[in-house]
Amino acid sequence: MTSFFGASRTPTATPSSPAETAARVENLKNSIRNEVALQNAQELMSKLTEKCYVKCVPKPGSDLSSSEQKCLAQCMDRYLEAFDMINRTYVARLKKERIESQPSDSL
Amino acid sequence: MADIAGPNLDPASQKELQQFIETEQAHARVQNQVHNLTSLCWDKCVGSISSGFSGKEQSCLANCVDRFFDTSSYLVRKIEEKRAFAGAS
Repeated sequence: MTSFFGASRTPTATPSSPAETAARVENLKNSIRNEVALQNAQELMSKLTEKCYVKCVPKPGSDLSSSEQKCLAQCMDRYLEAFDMINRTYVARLKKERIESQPSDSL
Repeated sequence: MADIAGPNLDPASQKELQQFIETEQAHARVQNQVHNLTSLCWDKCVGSISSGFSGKEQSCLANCVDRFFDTSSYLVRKIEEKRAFAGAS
């Protein structure tokens, strides 16, 4: 995590050129983007695992049976499909609410 | 928050970064709500797993988010009524 904000660099007093500064800002933005994307993927994986475990492995045996594996594979596809659907509806509804909550004279 | 990028960043870049972080945070909040709603609607709408959603499951999932919003604003209205009533008496 120390490299996340470039902390491994020694904080010297030498001012950097505009191009250097722009590159550093871009680097930081990319680290943040990656961090956010990673967290999102981890959250999705953890929820999906939990939900599909409940649906597909009701009584854990000595190994995952082939029918459990088939169920898990299908369940993953369904969960991702549901996530996409909910995402689209949620964003659409947020937009609609925002437009409606704006006072009409500001339009 | 001011020195997250070290002492070498000028104020304009710090401001740019600050704004970027705020946008990303707002984005992450929306993303989180989508995770929560997917979990909620999955539990409510999805039965046994097959190669595709049934028509019933499809429409349940499609309605689930909008009704959640409606529920939220309905309950906000109700609690405001309650408060107004309590204040009037």
